[in-house]
Amino acid sequence: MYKKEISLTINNESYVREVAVNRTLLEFLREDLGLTGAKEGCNEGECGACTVLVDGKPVNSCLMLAVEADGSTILTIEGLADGDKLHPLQQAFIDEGAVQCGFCTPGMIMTGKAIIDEYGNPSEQEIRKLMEGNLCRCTGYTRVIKTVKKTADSMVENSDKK
Amino acid sequence: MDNYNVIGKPELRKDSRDKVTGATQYCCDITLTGMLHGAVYRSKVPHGKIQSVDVSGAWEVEGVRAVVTGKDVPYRIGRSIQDQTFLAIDKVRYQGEPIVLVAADTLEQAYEAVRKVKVDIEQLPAVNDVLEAVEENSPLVHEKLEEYPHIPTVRPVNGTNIYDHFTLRKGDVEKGFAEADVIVENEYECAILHHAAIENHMATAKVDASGKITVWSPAQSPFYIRGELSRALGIPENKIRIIVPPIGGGFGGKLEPRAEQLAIALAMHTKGRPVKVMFSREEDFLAGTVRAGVHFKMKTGAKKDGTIVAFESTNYWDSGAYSTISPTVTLKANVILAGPYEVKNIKTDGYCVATNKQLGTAQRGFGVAEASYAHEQQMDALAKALGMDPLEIRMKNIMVDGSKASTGETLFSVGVKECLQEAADGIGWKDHPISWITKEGKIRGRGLGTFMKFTGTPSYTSVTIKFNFDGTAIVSYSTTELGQGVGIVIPQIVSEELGIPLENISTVQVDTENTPLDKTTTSSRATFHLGNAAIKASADVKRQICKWVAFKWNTEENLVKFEKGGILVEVDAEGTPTGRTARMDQLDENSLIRNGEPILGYGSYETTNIWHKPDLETYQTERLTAMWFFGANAAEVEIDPDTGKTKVIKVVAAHDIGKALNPLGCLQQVEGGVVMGIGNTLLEEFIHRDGYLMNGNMVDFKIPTSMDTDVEIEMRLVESSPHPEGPYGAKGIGEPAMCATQSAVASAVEHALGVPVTHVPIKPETILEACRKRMEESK
Ligand code: FES
Ligand code: FES
Repeated sequence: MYKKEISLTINNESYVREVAVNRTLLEFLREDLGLTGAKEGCNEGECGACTVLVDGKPVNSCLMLAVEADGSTILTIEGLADGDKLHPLQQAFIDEGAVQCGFCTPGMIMTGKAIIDEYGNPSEQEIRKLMEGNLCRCTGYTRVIKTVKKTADSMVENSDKK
Repeated sequence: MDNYNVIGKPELRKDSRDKVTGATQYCCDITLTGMLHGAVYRSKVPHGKIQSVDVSGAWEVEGVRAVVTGKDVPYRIGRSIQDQTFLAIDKVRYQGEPIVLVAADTLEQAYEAVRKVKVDIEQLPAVNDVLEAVEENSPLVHEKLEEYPHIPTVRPVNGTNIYDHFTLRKGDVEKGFAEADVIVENEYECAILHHAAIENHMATAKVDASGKITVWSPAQSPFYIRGELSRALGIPENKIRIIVPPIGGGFGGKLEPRAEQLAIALAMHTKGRPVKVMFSREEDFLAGTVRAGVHFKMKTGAKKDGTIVAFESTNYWDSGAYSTISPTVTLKANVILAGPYEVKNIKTDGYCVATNKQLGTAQRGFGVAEASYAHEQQMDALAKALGMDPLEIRMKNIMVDGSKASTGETLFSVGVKECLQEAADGIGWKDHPISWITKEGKIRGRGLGTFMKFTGTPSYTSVTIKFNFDGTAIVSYSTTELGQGVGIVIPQIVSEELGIPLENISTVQVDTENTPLDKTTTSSRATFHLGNAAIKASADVKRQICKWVAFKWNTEENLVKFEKGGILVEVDAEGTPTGRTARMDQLDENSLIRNGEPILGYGSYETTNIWHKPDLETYQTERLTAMWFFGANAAEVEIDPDTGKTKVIKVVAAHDIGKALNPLGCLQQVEGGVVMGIGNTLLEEFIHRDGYLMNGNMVDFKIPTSMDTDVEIEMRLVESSPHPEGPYGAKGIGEPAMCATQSAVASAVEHALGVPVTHVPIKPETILEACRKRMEESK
């Protein structure tokens, strides 16, 4: 398969790699770089388990080719915490019991973070709509949605205080 | 009020931090040195004779290290009936059945090689419909069912597609119906559907030069799979090791060996190199397992006052191309098919049937959710026939302590009446009619659902606890973590019993070589069985510690007492405390156990002795199970008469939990279970045409999303009937969480529309048709 060199920033580190032009971003992250936090649930853009942020936007990495990500800045679940300090959304997923089997969780959290970053403090209904592409078979969603909402509330509150 | 330290508290699970940071290594995340990638050539047709298999093209692909066909691995598996080979040999029986395996350096090469495989199949007429399958002239899925070895409790019917015919006979139904003032007779159907855990099936296997097999697999019940493989391969159990990383959801779908035998078949031909076989989503739909479909014929007779006097059912379970554990599903559903109502005369005939479709097996509840839907529709039909309130007729017949089950046994610890009342109160049953039309022109309905279910018995499990000198403990057991939270409940119990803080307790990854024997992770049994074993193991640890402390204190072992909260107290011969004490978490600091023997506690729990073997013809027995579960749901739905779309507004889930050891865990199970139940009732359905699966992907097979689930869920835990044998009185919640949701939602739809729901999922077309009638009537 024809290969191409790409360079990109992932979780604040820069990478230059040769990659087959048909390799998906998900395969590239998981198999070439060993970043296995993003999961494969369907490989057809339906489950959201593979969600990562490309230039801040949530993307189903199973549908994007690695070569398309050339030059971009990528954030995966592994890069979300600041050292030992978890991102508020990660902490909230723990505290609110929004994790069960956890297979959907990395995708859920990345989508949730993107929503908070972009919309600040959307309503619960808007969050539901925006997270429609992330499937979960364990939690029934409500706890996940409430966790994102609660985190958005407190992040807005904290930034108001500053 | 009990004064436990950690029992009954909403403690947070221990595995979340790894899960929210992406650090958890699921099976798919594990890469081994020298690992090859496997791919599977699968049958494109549902039924046919294999004429030839040509793998020469596959061998020509670069990087291919092994190609395996059915004749290379002629091993049989099958928990009830040994009807399945690792790969199809002479015949294929479902679309997606594996025929050829390839292992290559990369996954692309393996796929490429699979594309080069040529298989010639002479197609046979497919058995597509469960009712047609039992007709006399139906083609046969298995020509010689009777020739396969099978367990004695399963009774295949020679020359038919019937894997098993289950029978239950209590009292005299003819007499019962003769006494009835009304009889309602209906048929109901539940579609085949998929567990759809977000993690697909997969396995990685490795075979050592000595022949020892190691498998990494998200297997719900690794010891069950080990037993199957050991028998099939003729290899002793100590030479098969199954390691179970955290599982990305199971719900019964990861019970059967699916990818394990394929990875092993390849690894037997790769000279020690490990092989990873991952199912794609499409393969998971086709060749994982599914919830069996079912067709119920139900007949219920009652007196004028609502007392049910007789119940009869014949039902057919669409168990697909191989029998797996499906006879147990048929059995479990039939035992509770009259519902948690005391009925003197019962007759059921359950047929577990072969078709050329996906392998129908258990989903969260082993047929109980389907049975509950059917018996609750019958209750609503009876209420209507008698002009009674649906709650009243249920209350009239509901089981209480001392009631006789369908098996003839006398029940104890029965809290279902309280559950039904709680569910009805929660939905405001008294305050509203069962159906009305809103100002916006939508139709609302309320419904009730109850269930009862039993846990598989006899069963066994065990726990070991290594107590470390620094006051921490490592707990081992083999009930797997599917997301249900066993990894927090068991440490809670050990913490409570040993009086050491919860954070001092860790658990061990399940591994058949290192963690102790366990029957299975199904049947909502973990808290009950494992909890009891954990209490015993803790007691064993305490005994050993007392011995050491007595030695250090220079006193008699029986004069060191263990007190609540992890305090050791010395007493004199009269039992008066001497004033000398020690804390469990400071034994090391105080040099009380240093340099001692290792402290390794062991506890097991098994239920052989309480179990009485039921009579195979009547299924009557003195005691069938260690534990019966009960519960009730109430639901309110809103139907849009223009679109036929049904929205669930509220579900109240009341559970006879005995004692909630971790209420947060219960709530998580219930929230997830209710939504899964809603999906089962309104959305999920496999569509087959001539044995071909028409919607085997996530686009066309819909499971609930965040947009479908804006429903108010209220959980009510009923703790008034603790189980005398359960740990702290606890029962289970995993499967119960969804067992009565389908029935309550279907009941609400039936009340809204005024017509029985005869098929789940309830399709918008059906609803539209009924809505039209309902609106006309109300004009
Ligand atoms: S794996 Fe990418 S959306 Fe499912
Ligand atoms: S927590 Fe299991 S799929 Fe979401």
